Amino acid sequence: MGELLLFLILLAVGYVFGSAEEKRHYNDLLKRERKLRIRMRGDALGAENFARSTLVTGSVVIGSDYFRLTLASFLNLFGGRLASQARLLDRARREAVLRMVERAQAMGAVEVVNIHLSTAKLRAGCAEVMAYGTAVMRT
Amino acid sequence: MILLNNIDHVPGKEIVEHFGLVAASTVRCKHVGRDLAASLKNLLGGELRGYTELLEEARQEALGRLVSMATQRGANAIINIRFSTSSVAPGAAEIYVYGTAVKVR
Repeated sequence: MGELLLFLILLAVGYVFGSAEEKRHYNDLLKRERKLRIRMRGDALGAENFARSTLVTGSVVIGSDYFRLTLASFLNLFGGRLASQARLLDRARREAVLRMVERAQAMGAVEVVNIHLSTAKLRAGCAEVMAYGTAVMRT
Repeated sequence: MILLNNIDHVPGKEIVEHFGLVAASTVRCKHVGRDLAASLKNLLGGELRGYTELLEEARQEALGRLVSMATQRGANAIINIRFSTSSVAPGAAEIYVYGTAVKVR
């Protein structure tokens, strides 16, 4: 009986904190993305026209909360979309790319080219996304 | 200072010599304290900063090894760098990085 109660409390805590964190993170991402002034792309066409280049990276490890993890394990029985996990990876990707581009912008780069993304699962409901590319400068 | 990028040439410079593929990897694991904190954070959701830092440090270490391998061969730049992360055990991750060592002028 005590275990069931603990489980329900953890679910509730996870739900409340997880939802708040997701909302806060999305707002933060939007705010920072609006401040970006440099181009970013996945190809490297025309990169030889720049004067300097350097490798830039950005990474983040984000985890799901207890409620969403439990829900995902349950829905896994039935197959189909796992919207909460899709949102988790979407946030992680945007965060990793943002960190990389912010670093490039601080260096004085005008573009980040050849952007690659790499995703790794670290534990259940917890993923690392790494973004790397080449920042190019005019001088 | 060695030049690093992930495209197939060095903007503003000319490649004069190729030294082939260089690769380096590190396996890092967190200490129990940080792993416990991560498990707690996993209840609430959000970024697991301890893990992010761990992987950043591992990546820097792997890049450092890559650079010393390249400079040993006489290169002064590494192009076409690629990264790969894999989980090898709970709380431990392997970072693998590889690229082409070249000399530029």
